[in-house]
Amino acid sequence: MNRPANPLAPRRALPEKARQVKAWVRELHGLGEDVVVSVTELACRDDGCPEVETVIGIMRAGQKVETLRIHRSLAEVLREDLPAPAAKARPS
Amino acid sequence: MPIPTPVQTPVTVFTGYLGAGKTTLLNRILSEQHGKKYAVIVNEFGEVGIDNDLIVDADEEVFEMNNGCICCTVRGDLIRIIDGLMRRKDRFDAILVETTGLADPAPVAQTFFVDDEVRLKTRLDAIVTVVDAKHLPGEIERAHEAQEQLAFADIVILNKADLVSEAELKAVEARIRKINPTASIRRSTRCDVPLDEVLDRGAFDLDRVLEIEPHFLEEEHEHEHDDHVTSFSLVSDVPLDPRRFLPWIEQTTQHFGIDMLRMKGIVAFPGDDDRFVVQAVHMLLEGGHQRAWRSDERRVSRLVFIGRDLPRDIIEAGFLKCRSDPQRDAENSGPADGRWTPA
Repeated sequence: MNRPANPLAPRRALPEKARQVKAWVRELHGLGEDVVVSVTELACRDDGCPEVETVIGIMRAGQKVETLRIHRSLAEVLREDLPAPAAKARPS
Repeated sequence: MPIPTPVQTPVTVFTGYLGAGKTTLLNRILSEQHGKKYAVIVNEFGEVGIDNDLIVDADEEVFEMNNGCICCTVRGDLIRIIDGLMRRKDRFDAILVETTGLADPAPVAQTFFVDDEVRLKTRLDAIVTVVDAKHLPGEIERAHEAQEQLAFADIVILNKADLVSEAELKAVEARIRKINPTASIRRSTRCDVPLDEVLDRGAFDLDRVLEIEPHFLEEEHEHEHDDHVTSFSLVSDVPLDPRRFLPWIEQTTQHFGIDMLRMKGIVAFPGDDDRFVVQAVHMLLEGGHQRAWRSDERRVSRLVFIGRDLPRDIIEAGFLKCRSDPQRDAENSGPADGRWTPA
């Protein structure tokens, strides 16, 4: 029998693209090998959330995870979508 | 040339209250003569440790990817640790994760479904909840965490079975079943369970989901109780129309996902000889065709929901509307929506 596209099929992983985005983030933020970067395509079904977004976590040891959000699917993310690193606060 | 599929290291998560026997079970797994090498992620050094295996300390750092939405919350420490494990030259046969007695199992489980590299290199094998047969009834009454750890379990190790009577064991098993009718329960004394009943279970593998519980389709799971976490099953002897069922289960998961801890089901579609299985952890919903229905098997659709105060009446009403109706289907046959065309 013919079957429709299965909307519940496990999401196809894009490890190559995830690796590429991680490399861009590392370069842009000047991150060392000790910093872990996580890239996730999120399809949060919660009200008010975009249908799909790419969430990037920058995990520095002993610090709160820095989160970057891009309102595109992982496949669509371009280098120029990545926000520049926030300017470091100057001591007053 | 086909791209080789990377070997996914299985991950088993151990939950349970302090003193239930998680560390005993871990030590038992590590000390058996199996010739395998494990990476063990623990909360405190010192209690677990065998030569040849790697012990890593976790700090339970929660990573909220979406401002507090529990469905988008993972464990940052686990992502960090697994990233480190995967960079190592030495390989492990499996990763064992021990959580603290009060840890929420959801972010732990969800960690293995989000980051693409983590998903590529690891697979969540099963959640094993270790409980103390003597103290569990009191813990269930007192603490939501105890109920939620049972709700998430694929396997419940009912430990310290030697400390209670057979009647008490049966009562506590019935209590566990009320909260989680799909988990397999194994009685143990000092966690003396065969390793193959704990490891490599494939509980999250769509090809094997519910194979752990062979009586899933035959058992009745109707219970009356007033727990914080409850379960109920919905059953239909009439095949479900995929054009109705698939969007309905997506919407139901979206709407009630925050309180829906786990959901599993087997569905029969009309004219389809293969079983369709679904499973969810909160809003993380997956489904797909599994093996064919056997000739001696009743093609019954059954979904089991485990969650916090889920509105059974609303969910059941929606489920019943998914039943196929030959007359209606004939009227709507053909490329009405172009999504499902039985041969």
